[in-house]
Amino acid sequence: MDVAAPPGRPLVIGYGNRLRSDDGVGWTVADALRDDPRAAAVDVIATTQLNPEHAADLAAARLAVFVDASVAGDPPPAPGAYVLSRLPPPGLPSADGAPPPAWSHHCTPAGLQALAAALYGAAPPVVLVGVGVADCAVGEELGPTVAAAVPNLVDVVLKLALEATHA
Amino acid sequence: MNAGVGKEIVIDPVTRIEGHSKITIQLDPEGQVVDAHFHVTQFRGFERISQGRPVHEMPALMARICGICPVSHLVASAKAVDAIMATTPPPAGVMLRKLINLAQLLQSHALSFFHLSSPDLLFGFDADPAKRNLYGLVAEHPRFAKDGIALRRFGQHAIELLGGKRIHPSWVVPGGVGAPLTAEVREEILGGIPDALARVSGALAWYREQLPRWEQETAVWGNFPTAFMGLVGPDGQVEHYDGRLKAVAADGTVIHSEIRPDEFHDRVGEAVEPWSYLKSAYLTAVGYPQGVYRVGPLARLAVADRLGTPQADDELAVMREQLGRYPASSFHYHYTRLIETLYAVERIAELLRDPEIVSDRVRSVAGINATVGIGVAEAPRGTLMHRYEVDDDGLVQTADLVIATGQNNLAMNLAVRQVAQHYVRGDRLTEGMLNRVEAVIRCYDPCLSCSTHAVGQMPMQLQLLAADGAVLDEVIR
Repeated sequence: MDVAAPPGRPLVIGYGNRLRSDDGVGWTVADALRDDPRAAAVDVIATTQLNPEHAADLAAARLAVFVDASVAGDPPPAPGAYVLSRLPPPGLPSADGAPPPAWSHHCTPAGLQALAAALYGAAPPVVLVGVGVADCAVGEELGPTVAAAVPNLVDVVLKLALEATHA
Repeated sequence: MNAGVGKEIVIDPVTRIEGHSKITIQLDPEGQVVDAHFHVTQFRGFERISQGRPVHEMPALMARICGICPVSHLVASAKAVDAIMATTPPPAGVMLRKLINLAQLLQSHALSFFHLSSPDLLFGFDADPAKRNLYGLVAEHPRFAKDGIALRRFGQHAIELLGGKRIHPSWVVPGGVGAPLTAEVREEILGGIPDALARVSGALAWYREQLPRWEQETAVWGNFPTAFMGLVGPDGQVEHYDGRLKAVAADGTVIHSEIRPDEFHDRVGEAVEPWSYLKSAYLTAVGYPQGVYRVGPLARLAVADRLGTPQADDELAVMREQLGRYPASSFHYHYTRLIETLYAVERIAELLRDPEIVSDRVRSVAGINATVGIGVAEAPRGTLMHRYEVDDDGLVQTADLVIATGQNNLAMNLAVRQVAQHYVRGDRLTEGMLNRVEAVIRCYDPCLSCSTHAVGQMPMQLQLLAADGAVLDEVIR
């Protein structure tokens, strides 16, 4: 039995370390969305890392879009480019089923989705936006390539989130 | 086991604490525990990093020490800079500093009890570690997982509303806070009070009922006489922001009725042992190592006459009726942590309902008026001291931080030894044995990232060594 997506607003969570140059791209996109009047119908969270507490946010969202720096893939996405992937709504966990992969300090989007389903009986479909990075050395600014991509990333994420409001 | 050869058990790293450490247990040739050490194996050195920085940067810089209790460092650091500026924050600034400090205490205590320690309490110390964790809570005791999440969210949301972000806010500044409290934020935080009160009260009721189950653990988990130290208010109530730093002996005899900030280093010594980056604090009036003392919720509720809020004081009275006026067992950190969590919710509501808190005057402005400043405050884990020396331009020459976990270091080592002596038998390591040794450390909720200023990780390692140092057995998980 699948867990129904909650009827709430779409949620964007941008996360990463803003002291590690391009690793902060998810946070930067979320910050831009918070200031964007087009995103008035979207809940936005900018955070350093995902924690179990975010499961409660997911449990109230009709769709969750996670934006994070990514070096996954062979080859990984080029700096500023992005890769979309989707997690369907999870099934209801059984009592002896696999536990959600969450811990006190750091969680994954899939872990949060499973945690929301297990604890609150509601979890949204999840879209992951993995952004390619050039440099994650110590630094408070995005590199020029990734910084230049931020406006487009904001548009992409906003479109994904707003599609959910019309679904 | 070979006759005539002693052994050592090492747990490395210890899990479900904030930071990275290991435990070694030394056996004699007969297989009896003769000693045990809690090692902290990380090093960062914030005191050195601070040198040369403008002192007004220190609160925001010091908040970066820890992602769990950044507000405590922010508050202690700001108080130290207040002293260098010879200024006093306006009343509303003080109230707002107290408010954010309590919000952090609440969310940190909730993490410690509900997510880190309650799996041991709910499933038992012999339970399968695959089940005895947050995952197991979600599957079998979802109420505890939800309560932990809800209380952490409440505290973190209050911090975010006040400080602009929930981790590493820089809203507490020298002279007060960065901005006044709005009526909207006040109402939003107040709106969460009833739910938070209900959740903590429910957990306390459960804990009281279950307490007899842990009679054996209570008897041997760091159950020994030590001094206690913590801040108290003018009427003897518990205090986390300011007040008198008081130290009492195990039977309540007053050792120091007040340790002024400028007396801190005369009254508290710090010994360095070769097996740990964590210094061992002790009361100089008693000497080393006999001057072992404890800080944190167990100690704060020992040095204070009362908490000062109605529900928490009722709970304190019940606890004292059950356990006595000065509970000695470190197992009772859990109980006192829950009572303090209840206090924090009540006190946050009291502060918010005070009309003064929305005053526009929240910051005093001054320059460099002294070259030494000391700030003392209570972090979730215990007393925290920041001391800075600056030059005439306000550039930091030396920074000295005395952290709660360091002050509990001697007591934690004694507790590990006591638990090991009770549970460790022979030359084989069992899951239940390992977990009890590890869990007694968890009672103190140590934050090793703070105490050594190191990056936190949470794995676990244990070794068994012979008297000659040879590794006889090792467990890593």
